[in-house]
Amino acid sequence: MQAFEIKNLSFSYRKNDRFLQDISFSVDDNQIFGLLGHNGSGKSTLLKLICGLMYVDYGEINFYGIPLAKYAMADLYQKIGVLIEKSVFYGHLTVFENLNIITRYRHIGKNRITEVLEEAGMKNYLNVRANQLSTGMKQRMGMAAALIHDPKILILDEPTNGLDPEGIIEIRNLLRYLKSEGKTLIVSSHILSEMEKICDQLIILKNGRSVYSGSLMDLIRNRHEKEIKISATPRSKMIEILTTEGIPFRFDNDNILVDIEHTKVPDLLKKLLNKNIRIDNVNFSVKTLEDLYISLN
Amino acid sequence: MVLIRSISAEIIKVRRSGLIWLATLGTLIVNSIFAILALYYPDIFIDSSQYPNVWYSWITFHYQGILGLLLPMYLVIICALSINLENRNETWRLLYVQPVPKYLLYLAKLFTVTWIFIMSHLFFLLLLAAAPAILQVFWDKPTFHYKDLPIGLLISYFIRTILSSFGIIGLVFFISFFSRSFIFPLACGILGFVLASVLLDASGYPAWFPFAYPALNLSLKDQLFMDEKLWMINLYSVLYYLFFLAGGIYFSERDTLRTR
Repeated sequence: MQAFEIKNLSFSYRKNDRFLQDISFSVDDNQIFGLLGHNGSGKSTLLKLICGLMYVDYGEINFYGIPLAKYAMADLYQKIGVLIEKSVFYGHLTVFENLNIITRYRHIGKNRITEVLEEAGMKNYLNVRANQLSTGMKQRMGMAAALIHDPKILILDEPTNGLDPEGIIEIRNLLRYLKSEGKTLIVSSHILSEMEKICDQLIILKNGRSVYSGSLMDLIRNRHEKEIKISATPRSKMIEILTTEGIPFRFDNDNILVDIEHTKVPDLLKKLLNKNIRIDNVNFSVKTLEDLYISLN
Repeated sequence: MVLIRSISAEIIKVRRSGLIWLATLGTLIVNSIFAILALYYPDIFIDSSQYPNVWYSWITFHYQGILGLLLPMYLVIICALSINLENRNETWRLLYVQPVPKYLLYLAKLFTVTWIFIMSHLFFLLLLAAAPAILQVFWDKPTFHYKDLPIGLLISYFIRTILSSFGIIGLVFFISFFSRSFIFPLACGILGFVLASVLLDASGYPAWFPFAYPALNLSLKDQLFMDEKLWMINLYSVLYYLFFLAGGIYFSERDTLRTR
């Protein structure tokens, strides 16, 4: 079932200045959906629109088949947990007091505060003032606030922002755990390597436009080009075989970069060995999501 | 129920905030200044020639001291501070994703500010009534007799002050909520006092101007009961409050993060 369906969404902050243009995608239930893009590409704005924090200029957002515009926002916020841009809190209050404010709005028991702080890895920070927390801890507190009512859907904007490597791993594991619990997560980030590790589906934004939307597996299968670097002697004989076989190649110092499908590599190597060519080295280099992102227009 | 929960959330927010410090310490400081002045200039505060009961003189001078400028200024600052708490912490985006209609968030904030004002004014009255007991230590002869404390006058002043302040609270809170600024409502407030003074000097009865209401409550009649004119301005004040409350409900529901 589709949790969110976004159709031809456009949005502008000023007249005649389209910030987001013709964005379409859908988010299936129980998936981690990634929103990728550099800073200023429109990720946070798109998430604010999905959450109903701002209204779209054109297009449609459906939440479980119902247009968001027709949805009672109070009902929507019972079902979703949100962390937008950065974790925001009342600096003069403690972590407990801050989360207690949310329990009041949400009509939840106070005992949930300690539970959720444990989940977010900050159970020892209960009585620390929010303005004394590090950026990473504030981010965890934001996660705790988004999780406090145990929502079915989580919308997280740059959840690993400001975290140290250990913290990033913890949040990554938490996101995977939440998915295993049946939750749907929409996660934005500009850290592509991080998204590669957790996302099932994704949309890639560049300057307010969608340059890719679909499953991560498809992207890897179709667009994850592999380069094969072969070092062999005599080189001239190898070039001759590649030319006759019609295999595209180019030079990279002493190596020859061959552009063929992954599955055809063993056949090529066999042919080279049959022609008494000594293979010194074979190297596979896989293009990362980062390389792909740069190549996408 | 949701409104009560939202108000309880607002009460947690204002703990240890500038708003509470202003309401408690601010009131304490104002009363202390009056007490010190009374110590050095007792003839001004305890004018037995005009009032046979010194309490009347004591209470009237206190109200004369606050109603013209201090109280309206205080009202403007508490309204601006309550909204600035969200602006400074950028917590609108936290508030607007809670399952609470935005108009209830507006109402909860407005009612909390109103409640803080009422409580701080009660505190002011308590200090006003308690101060002579301390001052008596420094005076040679007994001046105040608590058996003569005019409770009726205190209640009358209390009710009139609260009612006449509603208009300013409703208006300034509305401006604070939608202006996203701390300075703008303060500037509006200062302009309001200046205009109120000018209008009071010129016409003596600017019944349509909410910033003049507290001062009018003092100048028109400082007796136990309200006359027709006082009833009218206090009624206007409450109507202003209700008018801006309705406006706040209407516009807050249409508010988005685009403007915050």
